[in-house]
Amino acid sequence: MRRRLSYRPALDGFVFVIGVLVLVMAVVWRPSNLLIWAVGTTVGMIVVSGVASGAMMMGLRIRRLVPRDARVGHPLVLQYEVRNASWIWPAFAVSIRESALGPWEGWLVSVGPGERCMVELAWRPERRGEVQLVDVMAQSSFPFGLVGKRVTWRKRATVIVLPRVVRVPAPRLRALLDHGPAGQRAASRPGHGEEFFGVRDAPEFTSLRDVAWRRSASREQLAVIERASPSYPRLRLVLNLSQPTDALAGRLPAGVDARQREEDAITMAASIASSAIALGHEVSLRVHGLPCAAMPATGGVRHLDRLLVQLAKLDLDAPRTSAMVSGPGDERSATVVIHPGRIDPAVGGGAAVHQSAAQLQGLASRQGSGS
Amino acid sequence: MTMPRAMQSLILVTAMLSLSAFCIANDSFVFLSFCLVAAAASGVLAQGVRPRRLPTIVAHWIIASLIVATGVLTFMTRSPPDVEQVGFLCGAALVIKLFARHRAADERHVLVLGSILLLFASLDGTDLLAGIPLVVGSLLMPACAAAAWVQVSTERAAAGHAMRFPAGWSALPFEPAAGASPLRCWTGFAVASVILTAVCGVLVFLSFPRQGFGGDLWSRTRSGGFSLRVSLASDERIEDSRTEVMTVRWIGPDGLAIEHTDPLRLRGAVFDRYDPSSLSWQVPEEVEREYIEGVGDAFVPFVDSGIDARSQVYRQIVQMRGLATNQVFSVLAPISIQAADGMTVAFDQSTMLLTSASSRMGEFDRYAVAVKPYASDRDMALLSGRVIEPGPIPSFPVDGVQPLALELWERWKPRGRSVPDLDEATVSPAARWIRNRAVAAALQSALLSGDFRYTTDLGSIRRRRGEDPIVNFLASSRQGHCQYFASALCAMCQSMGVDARVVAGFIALEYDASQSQYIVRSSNAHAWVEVRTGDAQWTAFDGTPTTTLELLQAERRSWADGLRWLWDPLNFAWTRHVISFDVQAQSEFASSMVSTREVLSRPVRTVWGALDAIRQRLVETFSGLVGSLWLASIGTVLAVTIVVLAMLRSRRRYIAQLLGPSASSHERALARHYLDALRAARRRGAIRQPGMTPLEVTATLALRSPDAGMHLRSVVDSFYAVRFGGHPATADRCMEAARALAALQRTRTS
Repeated sequence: MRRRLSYRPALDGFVFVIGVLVLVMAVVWRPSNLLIWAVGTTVGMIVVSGVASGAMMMGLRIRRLVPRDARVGHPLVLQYEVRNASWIWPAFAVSIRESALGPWEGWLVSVGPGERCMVELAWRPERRGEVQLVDVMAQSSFPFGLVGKRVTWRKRATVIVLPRVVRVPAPRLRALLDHGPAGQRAASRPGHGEEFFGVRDAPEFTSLRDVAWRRSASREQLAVIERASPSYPRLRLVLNLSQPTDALAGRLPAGVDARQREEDAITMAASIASSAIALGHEVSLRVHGLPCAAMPATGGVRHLDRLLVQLAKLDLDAPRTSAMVSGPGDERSATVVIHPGRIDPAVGGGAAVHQSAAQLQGLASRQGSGS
Repeated sequence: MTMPRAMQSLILVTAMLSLSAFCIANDSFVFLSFCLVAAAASGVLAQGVRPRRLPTIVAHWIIASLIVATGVLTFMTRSPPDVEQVGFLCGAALVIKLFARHRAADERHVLVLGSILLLFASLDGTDLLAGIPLVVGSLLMPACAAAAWVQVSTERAAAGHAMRFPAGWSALPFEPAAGASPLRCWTGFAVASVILTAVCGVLVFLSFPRQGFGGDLWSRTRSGGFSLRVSLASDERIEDSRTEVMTVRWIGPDGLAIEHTDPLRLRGAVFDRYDPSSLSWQVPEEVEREYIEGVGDAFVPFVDSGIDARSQVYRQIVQMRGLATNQVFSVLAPISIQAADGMTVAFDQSTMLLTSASSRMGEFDRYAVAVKPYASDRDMALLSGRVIEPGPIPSFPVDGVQPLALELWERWKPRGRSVPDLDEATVSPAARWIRNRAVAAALQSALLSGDFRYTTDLGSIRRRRGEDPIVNFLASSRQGHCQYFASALCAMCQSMGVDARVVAGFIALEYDASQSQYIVRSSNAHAWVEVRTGDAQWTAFDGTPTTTLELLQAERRSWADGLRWLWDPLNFAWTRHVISFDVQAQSEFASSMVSTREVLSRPVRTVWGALDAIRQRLVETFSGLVGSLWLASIGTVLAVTIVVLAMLRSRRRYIAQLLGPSASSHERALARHYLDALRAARRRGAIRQPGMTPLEVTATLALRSPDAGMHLRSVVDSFYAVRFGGHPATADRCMEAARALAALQRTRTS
């Protein structure tokens, strides 16, 4: 952690100094001891400003509590533990900023000598991706606004901004999924489903209903039928980003931002995945054109988080590859292929449902908080 | 978050101090009364429980109207606005803004206007009455500015937060941090800033390079009514303050303090030429000064020898009270002076005036002057130092005065005895002195006849454009104050060829018999005329009716005079040490600092030697077995005391932590009973384990002793009712807890 103190001149301070100079000239022009006293008090104000604010800022210690991730359009609260190491000077009117976040600031009205308190910096991310937090800055112009003082700490951290998610109504989602063989089937692990999974030795207190009599007879040992775990409907999401942004721009109507379309495609993928997982589907993800690990079909919140993180980390500036990702073909999955521009039926196979990013608004009934 | 009321109140107080300093410095007590009442009302209305504030737009509209009205007035009168007018405008704007304090920016506007007023006050203010609010206000200003800045920046941050987050999204907390309240932190900062500002102010004040103030400062210093110029140009009301300027003890030739038969006329300045263009009297061009150095405890004569210092010699002992000046006031004719060591006084032989040789004001704060009120021609000639030629017959530069003088002379000239005419006076000095005395006496009688009225308010006097005020006084208005009477008398004398001059100073009218001294006040500033009645002799003639002055003096007495003995010395010290602090005082201060270092090092060495002696004595005393035992006993007592104090402090801090800093005394007493009860339970075997509630401790104790458990329960219930139940901590509840605690401590457990 590296700490650096810097000063920023302020207009108020400039005006104040000019005023002091005028006052000194007035004293020279018209000697008066009370005017000299006034000059003395203004000098005192400068000294108070320097001593108080310098001591105040140098006494501050900051620890950042970084959240795991954020989401586009939703406030993210970064928390800071601010400790005033000075035993004499309180700190007032301190704003906490991140060099990577621009004008967003946390505000600290006061922290007494030797005390600590929490400060929250609210930030509303506008773009998905990885945000590298580098410097934490505490700045203040206390006590009179004459000079701004800023202390900078080098504290590296990363926040992943997940893509925007819009709520896809269940009927529309089912309309998408019904196009493929997404019906239930047994999973390849034992469970409490109806499908047969295997036969194993019978434990104690086995119900007679589960005994595999025929196998028991052949083995001359009591065996029971083991059922397979029921599997959920599967959705295979394919995000087609194989076309470079420039090439995509040439194919889009004039006035349409190609990069925004790509972002919309990512948003659509994230939205469909979120809504599908919320409905109990297992979702897999393939991204064509960009280096991204294929996500197997699984359900659950953790899988959704991993999937959204993958989508968040997509770097649209990276060079595109034209090779299709040949993921494990799953004939029992519904396949939804999302294109940023025109639909390319060659991607995703014959039973796939193709969606264009332009259909995002139509897909979502309203913007919501996602799943 | 709104600014705490304490901060708002301090800003209001600072604003009132600024207004007071400005108004007092400009003698605008009516405006001050109005402003203070309005400011106090704003504190009730705009800062009350249900604040009713003036809308900002209305306040700004009123202020703009005031500015426009002042501008129009200035344009109409064709006189540029002076500092005083701008100050009044700022004062009015400040009062209006006090009623419209909506946001922190308004508080800052108030402070800026207050700062301007303080600056204007420092331009004009010299009196202690203005100095106190000025100094206090300037010291409080940084603390107020800091409070306003915190509020301004908080509002800005909140506005930025609200702008970035649409309505409904702003669920994030935007409030003061936990821990000590901002007000408490700010109070500590305010105290520190006041101390730092005061230190810097004093250092700058002491070290700022000065060029010597001289007459410029004198002209601006509140001179207790006395002035180094007699001007008839202004028609303002003259000084009628009751400030004690000085006390004069008048010692007769027999050494007893007495009241003189006539009022004492203490001379401070002499003017012998009238300037019609500036309507003022000018000091003599030729000044012959003799410097008398080394004035000390003994009387130092102004003339080496020749003056009879035994007969008819009076002594005036002057104690300056409310006026710091370098003039030494004396009755005519001074012959010797006594003051503090090392002083140098300048004696003007032509006018017989005394001044301090130093430019520093107030150096002669206590002095005694031996005077001969009835000095002979010989003594006066010796004091003058040479034979003074009669000189040409004087004249007066304003034409209209002589006819009026002749008219009065014809009416009031002495009947039955002849007075030398001007031709005789021209050739014979003796005839000239006789004529001078006769003419002056006649004209003085004319002024005292009752045709002329004394007034301090010149506002009702109408004067034609270009008309000389002396002519106006003699011909039409016939009213004025002492300067008009003296000017008229001197002008008439000079127009009739009489050697005359105007003298300014003080007239001592009020004799305090209990203290056997005269009390001279600001309102006793006076002007009269001296007429040459001999080769070196000058006789005082006063055209102002003394009875009127005495009546005015009696009318102005008030209860406040009883406190002036306290206030006026402070005012004098203020003027002497602050207002007139000049380059000489700076050098004296620097040398005194060097000597102070020497003086301070001496007691340090003395104390160090004494400590060393004590150490040796202790070593001798505590040597051996008995001494060691004593030392061990003292050490044990000290250690026990420290431990007990530490425990008490820790306990007090724990209670404060438990109840918060704002707990009442009953709440603290209840908490003490609660802690004592838990300790008593621990001694009885009911040890409170981590995570164990007091009620569980009670249950544990009840298993050992039901009575003890019951008493502990009573104490715990009482404390919990206050701590968590919202019940008040009354004296009865405390008594009840104390009784239960006592019963618990008496209980024995099995």
